[in-house]
Amino acid sequence: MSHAYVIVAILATIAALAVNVALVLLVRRFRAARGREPLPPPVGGTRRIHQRLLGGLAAAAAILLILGIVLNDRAREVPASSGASASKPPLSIRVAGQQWLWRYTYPDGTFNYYELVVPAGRTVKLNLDSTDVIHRWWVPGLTAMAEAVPGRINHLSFRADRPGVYDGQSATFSGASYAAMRIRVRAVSEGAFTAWLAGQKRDLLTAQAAVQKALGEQGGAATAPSATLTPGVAPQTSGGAQ
Amino acid sequence: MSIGSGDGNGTLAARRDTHPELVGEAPTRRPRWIELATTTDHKEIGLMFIVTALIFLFLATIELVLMRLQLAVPENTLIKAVEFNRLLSTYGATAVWLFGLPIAAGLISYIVPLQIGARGVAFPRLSLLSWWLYLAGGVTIYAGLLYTPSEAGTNPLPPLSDHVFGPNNGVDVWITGVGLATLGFVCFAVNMAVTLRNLRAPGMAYGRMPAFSWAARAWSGTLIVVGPILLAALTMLMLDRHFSGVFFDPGGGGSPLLWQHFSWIFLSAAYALMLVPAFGAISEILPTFARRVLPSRGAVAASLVAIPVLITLAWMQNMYAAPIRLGFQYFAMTVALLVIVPVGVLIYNWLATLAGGTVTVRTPLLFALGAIGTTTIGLAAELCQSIVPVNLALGNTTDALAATHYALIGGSVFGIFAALYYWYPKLTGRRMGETLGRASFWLLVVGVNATFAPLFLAGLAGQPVDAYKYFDAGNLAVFNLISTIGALVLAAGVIVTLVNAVVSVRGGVPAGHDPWGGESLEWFALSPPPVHNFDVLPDVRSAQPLRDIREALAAGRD
Repeated sequence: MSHAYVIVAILATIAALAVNVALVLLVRRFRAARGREPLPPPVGGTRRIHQRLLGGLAAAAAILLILGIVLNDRAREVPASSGASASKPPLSIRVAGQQWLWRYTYPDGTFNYYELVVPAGRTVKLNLDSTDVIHRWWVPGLTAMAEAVPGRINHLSFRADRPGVYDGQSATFSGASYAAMRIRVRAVSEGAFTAWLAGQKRDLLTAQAAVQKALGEQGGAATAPSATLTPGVAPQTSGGAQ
Repeated sequence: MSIGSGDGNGTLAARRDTHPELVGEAPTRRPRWIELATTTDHKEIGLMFIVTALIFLFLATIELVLMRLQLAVPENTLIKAVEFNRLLSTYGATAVWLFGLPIAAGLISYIVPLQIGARGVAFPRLSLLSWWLYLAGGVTIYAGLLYTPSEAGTNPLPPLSDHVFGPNNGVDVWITGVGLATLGFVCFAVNMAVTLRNLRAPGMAYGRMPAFSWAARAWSGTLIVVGPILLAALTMLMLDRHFSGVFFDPGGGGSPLLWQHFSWIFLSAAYALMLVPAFGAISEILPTFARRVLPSRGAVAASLVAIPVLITLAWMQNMYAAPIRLGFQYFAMTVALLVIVPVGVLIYNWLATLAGGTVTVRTPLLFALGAIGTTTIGLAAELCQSIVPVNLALGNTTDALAATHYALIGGSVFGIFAALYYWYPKLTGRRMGETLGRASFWLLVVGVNATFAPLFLAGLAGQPVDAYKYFDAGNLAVFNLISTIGALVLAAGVIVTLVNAVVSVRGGVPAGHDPWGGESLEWFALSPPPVHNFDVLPDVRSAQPLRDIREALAAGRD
């Protein structure tokens, strides 16, 4: 992705600079001087020049298009898990944007707000949607950006090569606290991830049990339902224009 | 003032005795403001468009400076989030609907009928209505500042702009204001399209039409197509907000993406329509000041038409990050990259006009050169953004913001200022001050580059657009501080030209009917032209009717 930017940015800079330099040089070279008359238009018109120009420009557009498609294919490639996680299947996580934070739900129903904890080296697939307005999940150091649109699922996949913290920010205007809607991805080792997930699940179940116990005492219900977590399955979407 | 019979009441009464065939009352002059409010003269309507749009340019500049002041340092507390979002929403509407499109309408309304040798426009009252609708739109949006302006951003995407997440009247104000202005532009475009079709002078074939008139034709045709699309979308959003509509409501079977499609069709077209009139004006200014014809007038005209068509068709280049199909992304990328062709043809024609000419550097030419240079940087950066993987890395960052502003300030500020300096003698009979003009030009060159070049780097460093604050990381603080200082210089540049335009009405050097040695018919009329434009229409026999007249006069003298 950064390669894509570097290549086209260099081409664009060369083109923009060339035009600007040409403007300055031409104006300096052809400043009106006493007694100098403008050159007549080329004999026989400029049809040939324009034909070549059109061909050249169309070729430039075609080359950029091919470059764009090749680079995009590369960027869309789902990275395979590597290292200690090589044998593990991809980790699928549901990401729900809401004003103004992100909720990450793991396959077993464990969820977390604010911070996405992933195992380094393993492929992570994100299924993004939103519970309210449109948001955009963007962590520049990891992968491309994708909008979280209510009622639709958008996909991203990435692999964090090294353990570490990757910061990002929501990038579609979403109202008053949009500027503070930050994203943090923490990549940890496989073992640390398993431990974190188990701890997170235990904490959630404990908290849920406490709530249900309090409700049971209040309402005097005979049998309070046992604490469970809903797995993070992406909802089926229906209707809507593409 | 050119309206009126030229006879006072007294003379007419006196004449009635000697000339009994003169009956009836002398035409009495109504107060000036009533004359303006009811005028059907395309020139006065054009002037009203230009003056109103320049006032809104001033307001947009102030809003930009305020937002930049808030972003001068990380986590600044100068402007609160809600107020920043109001400024942002108002700035977006002002820049596009209250300045960018109507300033072009004003110049087109004034100049194009003169260029094609018409004595007026096809539907003079529709023309007046379009200005009133535009004014009503502007007043509506700014009246919102007194109670609740929109807080939904430059493009109010539902669900953020629906009745649940945007419950106050701000979005209603935005919809109404933008809708009224757009309706005005569509009326104007219909009028101008028919004028260009039916009212050309004898001999003024399409092939002989000046570049700016071709730009006006492309401008009108595009607006007639995209204006109603936006009006439909605005109506749907209003129905969603107040009448339980579900067009954009995912819970009711609608889709928020539908709004993205509609709004981006219009906004992509609007982007092109802020460039094309400038490109048309540049294509006349360069030949005039280099005393050399364009290599191919046909190629320039075709490019001026192709640019809005292609850019509008590439509307989905703004939606790569949304869940749309890969095929849609590639369609948008293909069309967006094809824009290279007409833009390249234009740039070749401009450079080839300068090469071999005898170039006299006056303010109109300076601004035209600034427009070419600045717009090229913006379009090159925009081209990068139209490539899918690049956009998915940098879309909605300040990099995209810088790209758009380079292109549109190149078009709507440099390019339109070039047109203003060029045609101001026709509008007022006087030239704009050369010294102030040059000062404004250099302030704008420094201002634009200082404001937006650092934002390219800030985008690469991870700063998103539209946020009222950012957190210090890397060099973001430095980039943003330079950008804020640049915005102050930019604002100074804009204000110097606005001041120049005001003081030159009385203080400018008187210009004859043809101060620059132009080639097109507007320079044949007096400055300012009388209400009927021309006493005698020349027979148009080539693409340079004024050169023909000069040559005929010279031949007669010998």
